[in-house]
Amino acid sequence: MDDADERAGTSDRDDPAAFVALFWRHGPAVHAYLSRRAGRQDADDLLSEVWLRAFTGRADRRSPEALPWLYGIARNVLSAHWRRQARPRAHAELSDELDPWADADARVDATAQRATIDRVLATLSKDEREVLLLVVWEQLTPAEVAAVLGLPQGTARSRLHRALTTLREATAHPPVLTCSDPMEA
Amino acid sequence: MDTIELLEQLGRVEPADPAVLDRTADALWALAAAESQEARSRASEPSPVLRGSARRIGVVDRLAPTAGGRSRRYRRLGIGAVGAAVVLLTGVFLPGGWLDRSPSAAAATLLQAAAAAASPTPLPPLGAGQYYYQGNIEQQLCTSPLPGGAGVANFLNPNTHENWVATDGTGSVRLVADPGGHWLTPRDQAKWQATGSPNECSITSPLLALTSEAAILALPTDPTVLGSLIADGRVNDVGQILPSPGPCAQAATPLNQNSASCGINRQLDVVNNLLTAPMAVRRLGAVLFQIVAQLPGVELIGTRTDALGRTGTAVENPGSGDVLVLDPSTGTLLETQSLALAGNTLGVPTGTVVGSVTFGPIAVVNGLGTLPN
Repeated sequence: MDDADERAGTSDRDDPAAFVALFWRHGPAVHAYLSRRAGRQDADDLLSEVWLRAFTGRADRRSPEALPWLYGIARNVLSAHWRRQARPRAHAELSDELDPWADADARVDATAQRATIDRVLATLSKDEREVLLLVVWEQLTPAEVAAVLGLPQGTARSRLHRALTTLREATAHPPVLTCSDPMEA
Repeated sequence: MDTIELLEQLGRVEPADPAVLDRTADALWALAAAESQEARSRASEPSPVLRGSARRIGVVDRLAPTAGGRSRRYRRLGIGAVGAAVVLLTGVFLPGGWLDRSPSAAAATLLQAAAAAASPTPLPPLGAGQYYYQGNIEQQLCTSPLPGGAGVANFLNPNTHENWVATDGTGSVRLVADPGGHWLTPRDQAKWQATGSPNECSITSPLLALTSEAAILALPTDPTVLGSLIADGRVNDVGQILPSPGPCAQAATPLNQNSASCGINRQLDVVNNLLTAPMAVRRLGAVLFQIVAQLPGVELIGTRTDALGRTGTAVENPGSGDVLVLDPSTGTLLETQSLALAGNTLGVPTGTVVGSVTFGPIAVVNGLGTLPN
């Protein structure tokens, strides 16, 4: 299956064998998507579920590009997985919704970097975070992000724009940290 | 470092374990085969049915994406970035029919004799920096996707897989393209020439890390125990024991007639993959032959000469076209072959060899990349 086939989405819809070729093409990327958000072990468990859903639902594919469509399925599988597990999330207020940062947050080590990135990302809404991370982590275009999230392209663009603007402002104006030197007291 | 760079750093994750990808691919193949079978049934077409499966031929067992975007297939021994394009496709199968056959007494006798003769012969000990070397000759069916929607062209592509292995099963592998090879049919050659003769089949690599055989070396050596694990789908293609049955045990399909266990084709796939591990085969060869001897449908098909000119006796699983060529006097596995089955879509006669792995002798060498004298 070549690029044109994949964009048309015909081969892997009509030919089950071509769909398996699609898996070898995008399976590692889908695994990475899951791994970034849920950790490697859960990604191992969920990968098959994503692809079996994709196989059975391939006739309904609307996205001309395969990868955003697959990320969309992976997102739904992750969401269902988290609901099943009812696992505690880093951001309690988002515990019943999909927020990719919630799990990634747990992977940041306890350094100044964590404080920085935590503070900056906390200024974004959940929706803005999700768009931003799809662009930064998955290297998607805003149009592809829109396909993953089922949004109009303009909405995805504006969320990305807001996220980047907020990031720039937060980075340019870090909170003032005060500390006292006990020797001066 | 700015926030975006920090985020990018956080987004770096380890690549997926090949065994995890394999499990999913196997499940998809099973679904694809089931769908093909169902479509045929609806159309009231007679068997045989296209299996359409990318099968393992020796150590080659997975497709992986490349920078060029083509789906490609690499050997299982830890190669993640070889610039070679191969989609290995073999054969068809006859759903149902072969499962009704009783185990062939002649095949079982041969396999048991090979198992008895294969009692582990100690390899010479390794000195500091030394490795065991084994060069395996592989004939792979390279299915090259052609540009412009022209389909594929099948080329039987020879290469040598050079393995350097330490006693713990770690080491390196290098692929060397061999001269020769041939188009499977004149039609394949004509299609390839008509589309600009894309070079997709040549495989040459630097030294690459070998996927450790540690898991295979740790498998149980009781044939009943290991046979049950394999039948239950609990052993994957790199010898890891899974905590729960793998995908083949979770759905009844034409490749897996019994939902309580893996089908014979899948069991033999696993055995074939384990047999390609140079160190592990020394320890497990006899056990694996005994397991194959218990598989229903496996038949004795007579003598065969391998690519190194050695003569052995062969058994075949007619359901998948998998062949093991053994030297029963020494219990040595000389070669594995994949045969085209009746009704195959490759355009070749039934029984045509469409893939093989010839196992070379093992020698001690003085370092990675060093060849025997």
